Amino acid sequence: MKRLILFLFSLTSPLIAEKPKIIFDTDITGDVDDVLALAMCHTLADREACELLGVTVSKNNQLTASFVDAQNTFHGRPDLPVGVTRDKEAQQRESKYLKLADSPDYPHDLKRNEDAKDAVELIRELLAAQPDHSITIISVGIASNMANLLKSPGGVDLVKKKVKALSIMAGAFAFCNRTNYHLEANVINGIGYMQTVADQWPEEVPIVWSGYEIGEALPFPRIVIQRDLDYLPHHIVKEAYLLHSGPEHDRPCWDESSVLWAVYSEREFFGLSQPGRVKVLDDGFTRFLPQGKGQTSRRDRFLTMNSVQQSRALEAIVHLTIQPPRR
Amino acid sequence: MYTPLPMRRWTDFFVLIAVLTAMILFFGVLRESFFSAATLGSVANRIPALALVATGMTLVMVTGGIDLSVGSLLGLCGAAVGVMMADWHWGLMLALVGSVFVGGLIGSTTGAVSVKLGLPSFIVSLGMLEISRGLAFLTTDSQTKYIGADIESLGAPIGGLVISSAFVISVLFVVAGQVLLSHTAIGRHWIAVGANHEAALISGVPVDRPRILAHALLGALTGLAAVFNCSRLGSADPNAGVGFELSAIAAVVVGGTSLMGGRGSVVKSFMGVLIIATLEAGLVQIGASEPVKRVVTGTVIVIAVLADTWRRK
Repeated sequence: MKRLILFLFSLTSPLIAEKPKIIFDTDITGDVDDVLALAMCHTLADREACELLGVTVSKNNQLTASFVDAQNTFHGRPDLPVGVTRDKEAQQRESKYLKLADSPDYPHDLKRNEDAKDAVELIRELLAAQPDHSITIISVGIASNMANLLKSPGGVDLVKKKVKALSIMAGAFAFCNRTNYHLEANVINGIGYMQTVADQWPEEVPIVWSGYEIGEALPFPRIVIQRDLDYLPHHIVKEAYLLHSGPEHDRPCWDESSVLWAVYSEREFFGLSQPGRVKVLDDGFTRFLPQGKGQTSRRDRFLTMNSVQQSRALEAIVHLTIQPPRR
Repeated sequence: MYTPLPMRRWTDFFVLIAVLTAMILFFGVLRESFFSAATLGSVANRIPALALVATGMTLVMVTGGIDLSVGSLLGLCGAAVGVMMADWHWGLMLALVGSVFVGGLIGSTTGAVSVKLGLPSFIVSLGMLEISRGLAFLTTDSQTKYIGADIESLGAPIGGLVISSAFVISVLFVVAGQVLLSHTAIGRHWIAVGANHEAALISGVPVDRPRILAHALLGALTGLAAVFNCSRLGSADPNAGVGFELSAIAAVVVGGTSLMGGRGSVVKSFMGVLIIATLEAGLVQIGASEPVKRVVTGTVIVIAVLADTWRRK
């Protein structure tokens, strides 16, 4: 009987999704959803739902490397590789919470951006070291690192060879923010970068876009911040959230949605649009055109969400964010 | 001090120019990239639909009426365009005619019900707002209709310029609307009806047909605006136009058209459109949050009305 069960299991094992290897590319400076999204990445890695290979930052601020390393250390991964953009054209952004990196409550060893690797170089190294078509890149900020990766020598071919999918938080694909022409921040703060990604990303590597409307419909409950993170005297997620949004705000989970899809794409937390192609216009609008409407590309899809998925996704995001870090 | 009417009109115009210039300089100081061809293009692309609807709204408001349904009508006409082009595979011109027809029909209905039954246009158009939005969702089965390249050409820049065919066409309609209002008999009837309905009636000026015609023209222009809106999106979204009526009314009020009727200018409404579009583009560029945008836009409207009221005392 036991042999029969093992035999049947071996037949089904190819059907079980492989654990995704992820690179988390973030603009962790302005908004605080990046911090929660990074916490999710660590939790999912702790649960062995994914393998977190490294974190790269796409905006300029002197404390980005230090904060990311502080959060990585907090979550029990002090040696996780960190890369920062060296692109002077990428947006310089002030932050309400990055100063936590200097707090003695969050000891870590990477203190200066100069001591961190170049983001594009790090991504290239991580990609080269992994099996073909094995890496999911989660990009939740401006697309400076993704665009510079594509423009680097052999970048497009490297992406084509090593990347399984790009899960990107950018744009808007449905009515949101009281308009159906919403210009989303990750796009308008780096239109040229996002246009490069939309135009030059290889056709063979799918892109799944999480639009503004998804995060807008997933407000992180303030009561969780108020009550569920007190298991430690100092919690970097809680303190960053309070510094950014205060205690009386339900911050939309834009970036978290991209992490959830990237790792649990088969769990139907979201729906997917029909395949097509996203074009980024010069004013930052993301126009989606399905395959067959005058174009043949099937590369892009955007996330959709019904009311049941909305409840499931939000609960999943909450619990993946607040799980105590491994120590 | 009494200011002759022609001089007052020019003064109004130059005040609007000054406000627009000050706004451009203000945003330019806050964000250097505001002074760019990309920004100019962004503002220019926001204008066509709003300019057309503001033209029609000026005519309705001059008669003393108002139409709150134009946003929903934009959605309904857009839905019709989506069905015609995406499902029935009609060409752009045929769909454009169809959209204008649908808009004109709805506008005429709003006007006729309001005028013939003696109901305030505010209330009738409020009802039509809900009817049109419901019909938009029914027509599209609540789905976005993707149209693509067949319609995008209208909103695409002409040659090496930043302005589109839609922009040029909308400016032509602004000029035509101003000529209609200020140099034709129907224009004089609109002003007479809006200025004093009873006096116009006693004087033998037709009071019903001009008002219905104004609503019909607004509806037809909204139908054309819907086509331009679809070209901007590359698709027809049944949610299109939510809140659009407020932007249109704001532009017309900022341009100096009286909410009481009897006074207005299509060209100055267009200046109001430029001001509103520049304000919206500027607030996006400096990263203003949505609540801040709403507070600022509302404040601008109130100031415009106050300024106009104070000047006329």
